[in-house]
Amino acid sequence: MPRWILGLFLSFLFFLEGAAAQGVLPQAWGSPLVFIPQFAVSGIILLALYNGRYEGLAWGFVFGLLYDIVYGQVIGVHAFSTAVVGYVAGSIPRHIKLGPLVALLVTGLGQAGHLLLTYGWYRLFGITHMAWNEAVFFHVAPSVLFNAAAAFPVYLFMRWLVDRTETRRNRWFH
Amino acid sequence: MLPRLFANRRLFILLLSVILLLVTMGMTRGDREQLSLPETGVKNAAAWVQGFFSRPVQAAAGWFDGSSNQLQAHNQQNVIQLKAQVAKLKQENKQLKKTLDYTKDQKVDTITARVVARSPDLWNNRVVINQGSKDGIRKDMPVVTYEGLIGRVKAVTGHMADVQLLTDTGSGPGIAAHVQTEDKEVFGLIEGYDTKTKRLLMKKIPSNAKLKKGQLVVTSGLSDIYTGDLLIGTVDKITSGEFGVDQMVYVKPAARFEQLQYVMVVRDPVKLKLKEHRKEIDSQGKGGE
Repeated sequence: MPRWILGLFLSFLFFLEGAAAQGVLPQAWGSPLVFIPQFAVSGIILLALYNGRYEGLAWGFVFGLLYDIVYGQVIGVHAFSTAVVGYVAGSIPRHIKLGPLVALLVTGLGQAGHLLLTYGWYRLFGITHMAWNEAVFFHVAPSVLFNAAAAFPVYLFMRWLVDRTETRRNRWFH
Repeated sequence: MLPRLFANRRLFILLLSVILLLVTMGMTRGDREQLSLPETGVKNAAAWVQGFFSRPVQAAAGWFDGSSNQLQAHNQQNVIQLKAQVAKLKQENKQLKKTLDYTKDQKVDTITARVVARSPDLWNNRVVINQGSKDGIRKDMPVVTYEGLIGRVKAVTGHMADVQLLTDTGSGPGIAAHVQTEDKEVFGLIEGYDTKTKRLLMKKIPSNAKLKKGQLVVTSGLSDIYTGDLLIGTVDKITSGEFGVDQMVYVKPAARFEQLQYVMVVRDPVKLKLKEHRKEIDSQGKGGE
């Protein structure tokens, strides 16, 4: 699939999570449960499932770094975590038939890994002092569910893109 | 041993990247006086794009706030659209009017800015505003809404600034603050935020001070960066401190941290001079040694 469409799409997801989603999500209205939108990460995980681990690694690194610079307090945490998650997601064997359910399951797992990894780094470096229990129940758990659900339109778009552009190659998705 | 390590290329690369991560984190964490050029460029560009995204959403949020009751009666698209606009303008007007009053009362110079983005994860609570050093904003300036103090400027680029909110759990330096009792001002430090009860923690208050619920907590003029008498909140609960020799107070913040749209950056000439003075003394100290 054409790179520029992918880049544009991932950028769109990236800006959606920072600027647009913030006014709409429950925590903006005072909810104790925090839904961290990570649409770009979902996009990268799904992309890695289609295009393999090296693309997952590269796109993960690029958008992780962008996140670090724009929103983060230190540079490197997201660049590392997103690249790792992209790589691992891309390493899942291709012969497993990936329907929407499996794809969303993998996205959920990837999101959980990503959130825990970033929380771990932030905690290690003293950037957040949030307790483990609170982080898991109020931040990570709702975010994983939310992102797995929100990944469905992303999945549909990715599949549409693949179906349109990769008719020559073997299709792994049905 | 070593050739074998090199043979396992994947492990080697992973280790290398972890080391690289630690190095960049070590270099970029903490308070930095200035951001590097590429960072500034990326941040400015991102803020510009974010402006396009955040405007319609904030408009929608404002509309949702203002006029959801009268919605059922009219379902014509035009009417709804106009209503949305009116509601938004009303809300904007209200906020800006309040802003004006606040500015008059406080007699400090403020720069009004619009919030364009908020850090999506809440590990660190930051918002991005659309005014930067070109508009007179400097690092460490306090940021308020018409309700009260919300945080301080953490990083600044040409056309935008990052604001660290008081709710950030990775606490920066404490804020010197006063509790205003009837006859005197009781000094303490605001350090940290309790996310469960949504209260700020004010520590190191002398144990002989008699405090009551509802008393006002304001910033102390003795602080390095905060202008004096900015409203922080009210006393909510009084407990004894960590070591039993002092008191700790749960402070209910006066400002809301949700749905931030317009904020004001406080420019206090005295604190700016103080900062320059400090810098000069620092450089003199280094020159003398």
